[in-house]
Amino acid sequence: MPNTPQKSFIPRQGTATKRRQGASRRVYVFTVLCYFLLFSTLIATGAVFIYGRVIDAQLEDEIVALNEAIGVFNQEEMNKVRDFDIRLRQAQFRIDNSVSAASIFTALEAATVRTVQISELTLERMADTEFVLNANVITDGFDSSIFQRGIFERNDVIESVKIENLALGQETTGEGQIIAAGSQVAFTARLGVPLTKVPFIPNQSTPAPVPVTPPVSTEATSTSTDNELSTSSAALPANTITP
Amino acid sequence: MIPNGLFTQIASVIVSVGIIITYVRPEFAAIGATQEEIAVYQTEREKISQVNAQLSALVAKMDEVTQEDQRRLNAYIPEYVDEIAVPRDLQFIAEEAGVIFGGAGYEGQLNYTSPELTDEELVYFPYAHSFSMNFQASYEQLKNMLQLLESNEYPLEVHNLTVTSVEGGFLEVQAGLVTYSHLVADEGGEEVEVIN
Repeated sequence: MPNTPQKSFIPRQGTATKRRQGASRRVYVFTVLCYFLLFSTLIATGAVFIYGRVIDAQLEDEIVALNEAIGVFNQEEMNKVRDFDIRLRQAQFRIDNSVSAASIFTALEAATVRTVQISELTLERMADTEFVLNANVITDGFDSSIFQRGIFERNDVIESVKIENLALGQETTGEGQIIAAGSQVAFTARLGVPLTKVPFIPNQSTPAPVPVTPPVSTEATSTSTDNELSTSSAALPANTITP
Repeated sequence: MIPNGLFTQIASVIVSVGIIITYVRPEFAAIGATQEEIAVYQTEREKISQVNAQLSALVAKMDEVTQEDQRRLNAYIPEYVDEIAVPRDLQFIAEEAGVIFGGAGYEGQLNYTSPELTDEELVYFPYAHSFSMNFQASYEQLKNMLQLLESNEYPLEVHNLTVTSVEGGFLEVQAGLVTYSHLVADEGGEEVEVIN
């Protein structure tokens, strides 16, 4: 019925087939995010897995390297060095505190007037701080005693002076006869001499040391390190050195 | 072909979050811990390497010390004090000084330290041993004797000295001397090392 008039007000579709429009592809943000998240997670998982293995291998390498470094460390050599260091320091410490007792007598000579006699002298070293001298002094009178005390006090070497047991006596001959009654004054001078004031200074006037016993060999009982040192020292002749 | 239904998308989100929570995050934390561990190992290895290098340098330095100097050091601070040799040396010194030697003997080990040292530094204080000796001498001989003691190969420190006049212008001298050792023998006779 191609010639049928169209009386209907409803438009009719023609016979010609219209080209059908393709379905629109809509891309949603959520979809993109979902797949982005999924693929990112998968990539991250793979990367983390591989990196984890790499890190583990690195740790193992470090452990091996540490063990090698520990293996290189030689405890015996360490003990040897420590022992040597301790002995050196011990020697250094004693050398630093070595003093000249003879210098004390020299200082005492310089600080004693002619009219004064020292009948007895004791000297005591108080650790590494000072010498304490107790001198029983006899003078020919109070003036000499005062003068002597002043000289002691002004002496550079003597740091402290304390006069004790002051007594007035009488001068006698060897047979006990009194020469002059009340003419002698006796007292005990307690003198403090710091070690720093009488250091031992080796010089040309120092007498050559007496040949002494070589150091004790402890080969039979000491460690191998000690043995080496003792053996090397025992092989040398006894000598004379100035510390 | 990727399904893009809503349910699939939600499922992929859940799976992703699940993977992140159950694997990625813990693995990250583990990697962090391992890295810290590696850093610790590296630090320790560097320290050990430094110690090894320092030890090697010290050993080389120690080997540079001549045998003569080592012998002098061993003589100055011997490992152990010979209780017979020291009095014999004192006798030699007395003879050299020209004094009348009265005798000498070992008095024992001293509990003697220095107030300068801290507790940690006490290891650097050698063991002190006391000897006594007595002799008669003139004043000059006494000074000479003291000088010889000072210049001895090992320390003979005068810690006590009593000088009294005797007949004939001579002096009676009693001296307490101290010398030192690196090591000490314990009461049972076993030798004990200072270090360690």
